[in-house]
Amino acid sequence: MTVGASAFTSPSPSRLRPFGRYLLTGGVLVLLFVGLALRPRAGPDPRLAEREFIAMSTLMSISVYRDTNQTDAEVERALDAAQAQLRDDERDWSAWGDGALAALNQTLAAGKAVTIPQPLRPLFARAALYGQRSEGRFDVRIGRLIALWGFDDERHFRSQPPPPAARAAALADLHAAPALDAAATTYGPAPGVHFDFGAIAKGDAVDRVVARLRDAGFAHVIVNAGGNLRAAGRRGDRAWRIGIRHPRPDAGSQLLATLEIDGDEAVVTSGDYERGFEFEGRRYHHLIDPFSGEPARGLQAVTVVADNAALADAASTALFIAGPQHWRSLVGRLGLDRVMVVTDDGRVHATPRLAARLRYADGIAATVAP
Amino acid sequence: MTRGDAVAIALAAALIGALYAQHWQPAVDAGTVEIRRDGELAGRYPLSQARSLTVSGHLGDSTIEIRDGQVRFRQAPCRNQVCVHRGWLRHAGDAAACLPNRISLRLGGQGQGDVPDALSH
Repeated sequence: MTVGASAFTSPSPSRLRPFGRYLLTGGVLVLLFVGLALRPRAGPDPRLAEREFIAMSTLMSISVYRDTNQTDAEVERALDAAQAQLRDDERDWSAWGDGALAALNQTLAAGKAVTIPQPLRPLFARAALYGQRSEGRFDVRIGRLIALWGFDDERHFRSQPPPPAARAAALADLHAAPALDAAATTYGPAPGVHFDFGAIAKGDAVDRVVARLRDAGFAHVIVNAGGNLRAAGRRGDRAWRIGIRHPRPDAGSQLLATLEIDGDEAVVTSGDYERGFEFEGRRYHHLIDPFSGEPARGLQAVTVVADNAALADAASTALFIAGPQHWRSLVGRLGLDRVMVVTDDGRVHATPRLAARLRYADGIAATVAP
Repeated sequence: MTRGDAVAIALAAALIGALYAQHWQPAVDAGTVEIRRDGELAGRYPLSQARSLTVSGHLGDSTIEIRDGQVRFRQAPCRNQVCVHRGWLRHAGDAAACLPNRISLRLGGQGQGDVPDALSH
């Protein structure tokens, strides 16, 4: 304190003491004001690791919030293992190509019956169960129709609907084919059936990645397969915060709502904006109704929150296809209670248990659905 | 006012200046976009500077445009153009990808404030 005063001629000690006190008081006040005025330096959180890559025909993103006793190298190893698993899943569950499901499809196409390979059976059984409970809206036997519309692979693309005759033939084959039984280990012959697990395999893969990370000691993670995600644990001292995309975003808002997850839940949205094309002023999207053979109409988006991502994935598709008249009846049948639906007129409906937890974006008004 | 007061005020002012210089950051994060090829980081660019980028992927070149704090795929070598139709991205955490060309971009900014940690879409 005397340094500042030393420039003055003959400062007397009696005047230095109050000067020092003023300077100290002033300094404390400055620190206080500056501290209040400035935000703390908010750098990236070193405990949060994120990895992004392309797998299963979508953009995958994994976030891991590590504990203080876990090293970055351990996180990297766990992420490597997760990425390898998703590459294997991509091969196993592709409807086309050289994996297990594609081989099964080729045998079916040759007119023969198939034995469902052991590793595929659990998901075949769940697909059969959700198919029954959704009264056929969710149907993994729909591969030929999906291919006709060009939604089977991101490298295929149609710019107009398939010819009506081809669509009718695929529909007739599908309806004549045997149902998928949850206990079955064989299927067919059914030459018209081509299995496509695109509406459940990503969710199932997300579930298994979350389980794998948890087994490796990482309890705080988000695994996001192109918007189909599961969040477990929390992000340090707060819950994970999940945004739900607005199906018709504008410049002001791209989010419909946010949802906090503290624990372990899957959030999957099926929307008509995801993949599709426009033809003669009409939009054709990837959620094909197995009864009409055409994109389902009446809804813009369905979000399902459930305990696992495979169920949320299949259920969001089934509810979307059920449409504005019937989605409510499927909520109970599929054992759901956290659902949000956006109808074609832009209205938002949410079931009470989800509505209570959503934070809607500005300007969004939602009806609490019974 | 004594000279001592003047010195105290000058010192206080200098302290304020020094603290701002050390801690000040813009209230609105200008943000960055991360561009990846096959999941590998191919570049990180501020959204505050307009530019046009060409990134080579599996099929050919994707053109990415940055302007006014936003970013978009302007051209893609694939047929379906899903990434181009995604339009301008401007919120932290927004992401788009050209899957056939295996190029993805994501707006930076880890979940601070109200920014979500992940997006369901």
